[in-house]
Amino acid sequence: MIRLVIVLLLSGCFTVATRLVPYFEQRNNQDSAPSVITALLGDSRRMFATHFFEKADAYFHGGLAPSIFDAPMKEEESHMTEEVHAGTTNAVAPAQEEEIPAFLQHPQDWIEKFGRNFFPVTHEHLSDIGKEEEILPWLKLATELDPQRVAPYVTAAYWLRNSMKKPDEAEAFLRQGLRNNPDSFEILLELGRIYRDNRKEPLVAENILQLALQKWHKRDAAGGKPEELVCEEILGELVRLEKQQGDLKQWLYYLEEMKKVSPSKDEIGKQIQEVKAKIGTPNN
Amino acid sequence: MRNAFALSGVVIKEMYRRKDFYVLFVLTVLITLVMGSINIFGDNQIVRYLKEICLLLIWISALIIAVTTTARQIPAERESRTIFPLLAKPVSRAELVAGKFLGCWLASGACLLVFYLFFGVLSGTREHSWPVLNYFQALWLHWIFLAVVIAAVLLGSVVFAAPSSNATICLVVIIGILFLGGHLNRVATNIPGAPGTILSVIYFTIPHLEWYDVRDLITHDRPLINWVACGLATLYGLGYSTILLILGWAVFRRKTLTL
Amino acid sequence: MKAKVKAGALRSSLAQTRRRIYFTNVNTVLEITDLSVEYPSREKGVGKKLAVNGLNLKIQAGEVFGFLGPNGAGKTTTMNVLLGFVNAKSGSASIFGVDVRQPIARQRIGYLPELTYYYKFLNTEELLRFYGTIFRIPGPELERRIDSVLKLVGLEHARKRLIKTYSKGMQQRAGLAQALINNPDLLILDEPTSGLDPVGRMKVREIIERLKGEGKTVFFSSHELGEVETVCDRVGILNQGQLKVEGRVEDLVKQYQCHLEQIFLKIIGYEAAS
Ligand SMILES: Nc1ncnc2c1ncn2[C@@H]1O[C@H](COP(=O)(O)OP(=O)(O)O)[C@@H](O)[C@H]1O
Ligand SMILES: [Mg+2]
Repeated sequence: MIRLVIVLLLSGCFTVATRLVPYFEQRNNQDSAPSVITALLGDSRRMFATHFFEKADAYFHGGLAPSIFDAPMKEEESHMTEEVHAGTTNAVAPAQEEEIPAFLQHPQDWIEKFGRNFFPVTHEHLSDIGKEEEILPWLKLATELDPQRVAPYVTAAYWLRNSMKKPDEAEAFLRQGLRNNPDSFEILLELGRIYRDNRKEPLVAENILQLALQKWHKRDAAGGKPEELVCEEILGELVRLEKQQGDLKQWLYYLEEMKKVSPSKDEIGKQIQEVKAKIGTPNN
Repeated sequence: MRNAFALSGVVIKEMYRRKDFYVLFVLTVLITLVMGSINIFGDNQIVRYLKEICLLLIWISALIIAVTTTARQIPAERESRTIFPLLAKPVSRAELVAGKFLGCWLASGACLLVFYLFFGVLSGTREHSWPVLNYFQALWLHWIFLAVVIAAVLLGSVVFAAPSSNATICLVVIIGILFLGGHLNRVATNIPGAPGTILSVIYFTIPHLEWYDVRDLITHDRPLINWVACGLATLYGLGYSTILLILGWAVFRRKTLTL
Repeated sequence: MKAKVKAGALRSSLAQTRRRIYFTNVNTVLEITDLSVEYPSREKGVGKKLAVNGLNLKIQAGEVFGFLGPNGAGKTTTMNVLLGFVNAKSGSASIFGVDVRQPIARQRIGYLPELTYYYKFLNTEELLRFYGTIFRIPGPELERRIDSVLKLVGLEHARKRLIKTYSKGMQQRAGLAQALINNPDLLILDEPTSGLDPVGRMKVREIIERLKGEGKTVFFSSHELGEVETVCDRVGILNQGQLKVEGRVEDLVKQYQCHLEQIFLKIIGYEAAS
């Protein structure tokens, strides 16, 4: 009797499952390929993705991370990604960073003071000790969980191509990101940099960067309010490319475009004058 | 004291004859190895994420082992009536409490040793460095942490009737302390009036278990903890354990043992 | 300094008690005076339940005492007080002249609870070794004791088996073995034959008689009167927490002019009628 009931229940479950599986598959197929992790976590995975991205940042600072109870981190302290956007390959820490970071306020009591013996309180940069690769697993995980998030692709690619000298992996990762975010000019910018700096293929780089610029303008036109800083960066890269190749007209064109979005208009104005002067000289 | 040791021997025997530890250990090893086999941009020097995952699993497993084993000790003695022939021997109830504590603490210490050995081998084979002293500090502080946990659960097991509710309550409190314990003072200063004061009082009375969680220092190859701080934390932890045990004994001492 | 002296004094007094337990041959092994025990009632509305009411009892060395009474009379409760599981409401009890509230009073007694029990993870041998350590029996001596008690209860063949795999009769015998491990002078057995088949009952009875032959004092409860009549020197009949009759079996039979069973029923029936 009991066996019969169990068999009936099992077969009932099985039937329900066979009906439900196609339904859910249909619902989920906007996500290209749901992996085990994404399937398990469901919608909470965006939250986890954020967590892992922040974890990568904490790793970059040698485990130093503010909790929600600490004062918010200052801009300059949370610069893992800013560096990338700013394109500064120079990650040398400011002088005062050896001290206790500002988000850790002065301890209120002995418990807090004593407790600081037991977690990282001093600033450290993985890039200073050549261990940048340690942040990569979390970035990869963040993209697994939330493929539509662009920053992890860009950050990972930055470190892969710059300090780890793995442009192939960087490109593959960026292309994966591009598949999930076809309109991301940030990813295109980073890809362009790979072709210019690592592959030494300026023409390809130029095409990619131009595409990036297009996408930026497209988003701008659509009212997406893209960051002007990124546009400036794209243009900056293009300017440098044209300078390399000696295409003065294009150089001038990009400089003028750059002036529209850049905060430092005087500096660019000066450069424009220089280029114009060059165009004026006959031997060019 | 000798009785306490005899009692602890039974607890240790129980621990290694039950399957809990093996299951959790194999699970930890498996998950860590699977995570370690993931290809991350073709780089097999990457180790910190593995260390972090492994340590997290160790912390979870050790907490589960310690809490569940301790929570059932005295209730199981009462339920299976073994407490009657036991207390019919020249054993005082204080010795019973002390013996249960010792047994659980030593047994979970042995489990920790196995876990950290695996951790050491794992990270050592990847990093090719063996910061034995750092690992010792982590293991030691973890063990002291478990002493407080076990004493608290033991107290809970004589206060609350059902072992499962005791385990749940203790886990919630312990995890709460681990996450929030160190920040209550900041929260308290932001809350005016009586609730703020109550929070401050809680902040100063709870055992600050978050100190003993030094995983971040290990994961990120940070330098050794000040040994004096380690020693003080040890004294603090053992002090709290003693207080909790005495409370447990005070509750248990006059308890009528019938079914 | 002061604390040290105090601790020293305490230790020496403990040692004295221990010596007294071991070496003084007190004639009165067990003494219960005006003992009353109260339980919080299980039924609602009723305040408290008096499980034992003004009990007085003295047991001499070498006696086998049958503690009789119907279910719920308070036999187990009395024993629980003797072993310190339950606190008395009033009155006192002592074993070998030591108040039962001191753990050391239990050094020379063996106890078999009413219901079976076992540690799920131990076999009989380990169980006996564990209890032996608590009695501070030195190693080689303990091994000898384990062998001899296992032989006495007839469990040598199963000494390495987990107790949870035993049959009910074997568990009861394992219980007897642990009660005998310290070679006790006073045995407190709570319904040692209940739930056993005739052969098992017979075996337990044999063991009790053997202990009696060795000069041990046995205090055991029962409501099976046939066996009581054959092994007991003295009996006491308890009903509703009060000791109704107490005396040598022959004397009682003579006094009431009938069997022990009839006496028992008479007392119970009498109570029920009133
Ligand atoms: N833990 C308890 N709580 C409340 N009442 C109890 C408890 N244990 C026993 N009693 C009551 O005390 C009385 C005596 O019980 P007990 O000593 O076990 O009887 P006996 O062993 O003679 O059968 C019974 O009426 C019983 O219901
Ligand atoms: Mg009874």
